[in-house]
Amino acid sequence: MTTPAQQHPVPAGQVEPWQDIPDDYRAAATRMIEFHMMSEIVGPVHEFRWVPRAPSLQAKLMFAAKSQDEVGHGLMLLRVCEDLTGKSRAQYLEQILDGPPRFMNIFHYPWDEWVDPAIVAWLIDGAEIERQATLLRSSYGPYARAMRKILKEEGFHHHCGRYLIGRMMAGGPRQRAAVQRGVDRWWLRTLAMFGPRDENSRHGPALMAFGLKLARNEDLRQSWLTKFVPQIRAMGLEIPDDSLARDEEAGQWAYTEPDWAEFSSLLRGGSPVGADLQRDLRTARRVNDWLLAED
Amino acid sequence: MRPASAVAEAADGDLEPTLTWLADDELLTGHVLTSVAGWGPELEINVAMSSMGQDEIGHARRLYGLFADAGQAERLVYERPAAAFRAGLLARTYPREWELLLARQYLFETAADARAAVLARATAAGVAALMAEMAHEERYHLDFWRTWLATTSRRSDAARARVQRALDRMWPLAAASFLPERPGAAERALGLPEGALSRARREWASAEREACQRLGLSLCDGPPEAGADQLGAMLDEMRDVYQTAPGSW
Amino acid sequence: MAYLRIFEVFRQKAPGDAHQHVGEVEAPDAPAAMVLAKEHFARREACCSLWVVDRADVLASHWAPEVFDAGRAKGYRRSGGARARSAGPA
Repeated sequence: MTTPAQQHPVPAGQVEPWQDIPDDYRAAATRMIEFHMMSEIVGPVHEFRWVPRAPSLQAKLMFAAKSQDEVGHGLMLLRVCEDLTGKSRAQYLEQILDGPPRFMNIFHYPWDEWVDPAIVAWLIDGAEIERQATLLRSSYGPYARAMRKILKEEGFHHHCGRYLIGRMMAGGPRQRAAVQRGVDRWWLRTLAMFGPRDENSRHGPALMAFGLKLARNEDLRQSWLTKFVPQIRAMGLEIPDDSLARDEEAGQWAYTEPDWAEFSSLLRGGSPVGADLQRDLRTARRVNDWLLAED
Repeated sequence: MRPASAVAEAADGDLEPTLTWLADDELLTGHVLTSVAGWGPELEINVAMSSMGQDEIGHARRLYGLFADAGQAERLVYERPAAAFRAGLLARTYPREWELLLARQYLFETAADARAAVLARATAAGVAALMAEMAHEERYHLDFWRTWLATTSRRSDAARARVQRALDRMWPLAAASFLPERPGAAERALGLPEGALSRARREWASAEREACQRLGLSLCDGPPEAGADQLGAMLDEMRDVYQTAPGSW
Repeated sequence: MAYLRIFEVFRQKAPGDAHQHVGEVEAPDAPAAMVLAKEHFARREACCSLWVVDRADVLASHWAPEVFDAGRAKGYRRSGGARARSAGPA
């Protein structure tokens, strides 16, 4: 069996949309970037439900700025996709609002308490930083360029999350209990977010071969664990995993595996929560369609 | 901070009611813009609306800060009874439809700009300096909504008709919101010449009538519509999380 | 027909710098593109001036990178200007 890299050597240097791009490279780039783009456009619906309810002016300003950044990321990635595939803004919006729900696992769970967006900002934006830092060297030029601005802003989001969680931990037993509930709920989802190990990943090896993706899922997860396990414990929180342990010699963490069947079912088939996000966005867009829709 | 009743009966020369009025206007507008930014017509527009909303919340903080410390300002936002809010009727509207947002914000920003020109001459401590500080952001807000009023009205006859219907609803609210409850007392407290605010209102109204006319739009006087005041709904939303542990966020 | 057009955005960081391309916004006209570009590309980043240019007005070169290869040795077209200067009257 030949690897994708043997069939089609990684194009030299960075690939730009106006060059001749091999079909399978374009297909792989499209799949990966569209997934990221849809996550950044549909995902913030969760956050926008919480922006009006932020419980202090500081939190309100942070959350407004963070959700605004996410919209900007969605916008930049949508532009990257438009130039990559030649589809128009209108065609993409139809795909995002009415098409299959291809976005990150974390948006398929309910965000029912104020602690949910705060935990996501802290742990998951922290996880995104791990991945995106490697994507600065992605072989698709426009994607790598968009990542510079995105990465800088995700750093700010992570600090917001940590600040908000810190405030709650200082707030009182009820708030501390809410944060612990949040960590319990989001721990495995966060580990799962990096995706399965390469041997179980459908597209990972091809994306690596094309230089679109620069690091293995497991390596990113390990690097995140090294940074966040001490952070979570320093906050006075418990990690809901009895088998979590670091093998110092191997430099690796052992951990309880997330439910990978659930993960792939969410990514392939979606969820009622995800469908609800798309529906909310669709309803909102339809109200103002007359302004910018194609003639 | 004094209780609301004392604020309501503040004597002449007391700046607090005027500053509260200005700050509440900014706070509610900031709330509306940062909230609707998830639901607007296009991603680029949403980014800009959120930015402007963040500016307005920041301005509200600075205005409350002229008479209250940070903790007091926080309680003014999250605990004050709705009846003690001094925001104008226009700032109490909470639309999601683009034409209504556009009409609300266009009228809000042009009025704020006209008022700021007067307030820049206030002798009361801190007011003129704060106006100068906010002026750069307000300049952009004004340009944004002016540009989009023109772009939207030129879209088609149907689009212009939509904008006109929105102006028909928002103009009476804007006209009723330009001046504080007691303009004379506000002018004395701010150290402004008598009648300065009323004069600014007249000039603003006639300038905006002409500006709208150039776009094929008109501003028709009428009574403010009933049910426009959505302050209660806004405060419920704003305090939803806060009230689960008041004072510890 | 598409109502939105793509506008290329160029940002000048500080006076004296060149305007550099930073990305695109989509808008119905240039003034609208300008007020959108400001918040998207200049709310966190240093900026003192912006340009927006309709993508339809941009002519992109069609030459392969090699055609631009100015670093290549091109002795056959050297003018000898440097030597001529050093040999000139002191």
